[in-house]
Amino acid sequence: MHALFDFLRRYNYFLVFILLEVVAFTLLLKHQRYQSSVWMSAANSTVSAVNGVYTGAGQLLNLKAVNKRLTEENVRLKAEYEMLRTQIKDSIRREQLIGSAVRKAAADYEMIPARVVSNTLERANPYLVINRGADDGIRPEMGVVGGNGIVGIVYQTTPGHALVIPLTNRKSNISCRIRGLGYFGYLVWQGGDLRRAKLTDIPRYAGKLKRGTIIETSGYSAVFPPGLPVGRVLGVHNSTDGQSYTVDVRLGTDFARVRDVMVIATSYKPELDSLRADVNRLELETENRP
Amino acid sequence: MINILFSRLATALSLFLLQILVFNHVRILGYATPFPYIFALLLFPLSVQRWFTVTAGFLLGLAADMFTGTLGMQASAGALLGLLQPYLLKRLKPVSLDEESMLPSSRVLGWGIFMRYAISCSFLFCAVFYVLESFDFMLWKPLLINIAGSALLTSVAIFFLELIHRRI
Repeated sequence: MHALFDFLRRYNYFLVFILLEVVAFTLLLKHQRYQSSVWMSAANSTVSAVNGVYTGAGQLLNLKAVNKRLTEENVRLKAEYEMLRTQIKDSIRREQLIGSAVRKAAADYEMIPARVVSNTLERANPYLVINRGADDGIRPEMGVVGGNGIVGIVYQTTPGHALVIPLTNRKSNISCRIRGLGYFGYLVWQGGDLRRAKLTDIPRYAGKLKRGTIIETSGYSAVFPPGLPVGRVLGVHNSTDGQSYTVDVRLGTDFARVRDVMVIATSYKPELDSLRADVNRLELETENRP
Repeated sequence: MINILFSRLATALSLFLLQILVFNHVRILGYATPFPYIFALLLFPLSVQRWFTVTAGFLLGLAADMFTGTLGMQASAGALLGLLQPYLLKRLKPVSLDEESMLPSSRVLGWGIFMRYAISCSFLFCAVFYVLESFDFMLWKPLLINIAGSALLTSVAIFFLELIHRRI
């Protein structure tokens, strides 16, 4: 402390000098426009340069943490990628045949998406209820399709809902054919296993049917467009009358899990119906003619 | 002592008036302006307190600034000259001379040493003043011409002032 005071006493003139210089510079920078502008811009650029150095240093120090985070994220994304890749591969294998076939076959039809809200599988003749009805354009006898194949036919409609007769109902009777061969018959369900049905009336000369051949809609009923997958051939045996084959079919749709479906609104069903009515009238007229 | 103080004060005042009335209007080739009023600072003997020379330099410069619109520049240069003037004098004076009683004049120091002293001080003052005026080293050529020209002119003016001062 004493040394400090001694120092100050001996060099008091230097403190005076510093003080006066500060006063002079204050006056200079306050009253001289040019000098003050030069000073301000130099001060600004210095401050920004210092800030830049600080920011750069901060970023450099953060690099380790950033790198760790990126590595973790990378590992996580890789795992996710592998999982998704295998999932996509599986689903492509499963959907390729059926899903794209549904899309292709139904391209010309209006599709109304719906959801199954009630499923009475425990009954002998089950029904499904979907959450779309007459107000959504759904009419009786429209076809209902799921992602893995056809589901059934609309039976009755209310303004908000519709009752669907699934394939697994004894009343269901849908015209189907064997893909690639063209022979057609009627698909019926005889109770029991929800994933098994029978295709009747396949002629005996149809030849040897391969297990796994796709059964698809024939398009004759105008309810479904032709070519919609229904299921696959499980086995073939003679019918009870011996005149034809009965084909065991493994249904594509799992009725225990069916949820999201599409209702197919065919535009030309009325036309077909009126043509059929004409045919019926013609037949009646020919019969009545003496 | 009082007489000396008053004569110094009178010298300073007359130099100051000379500066603001005549020398401030001199601009040879647009570059060189003499500042012979610093002669008043050069005359301080080494016995004077240092804080006094610093303050005197500052106030003289500030007063001159008021008339040239260069507020702060000559004050700053004057304060620095007040700080360094004793160093320069101590360094240039012959060793034989006594520090306390010596008066800085051509008669005591001899013309050679006195002019070296005068040129050093002029150069110091002009350098600080013009550096502050340009506040930028981009145009260093005109800056150097300004400093050298003004220092030379100031030195010449101090030479003539010393000639007059010697007679009195």
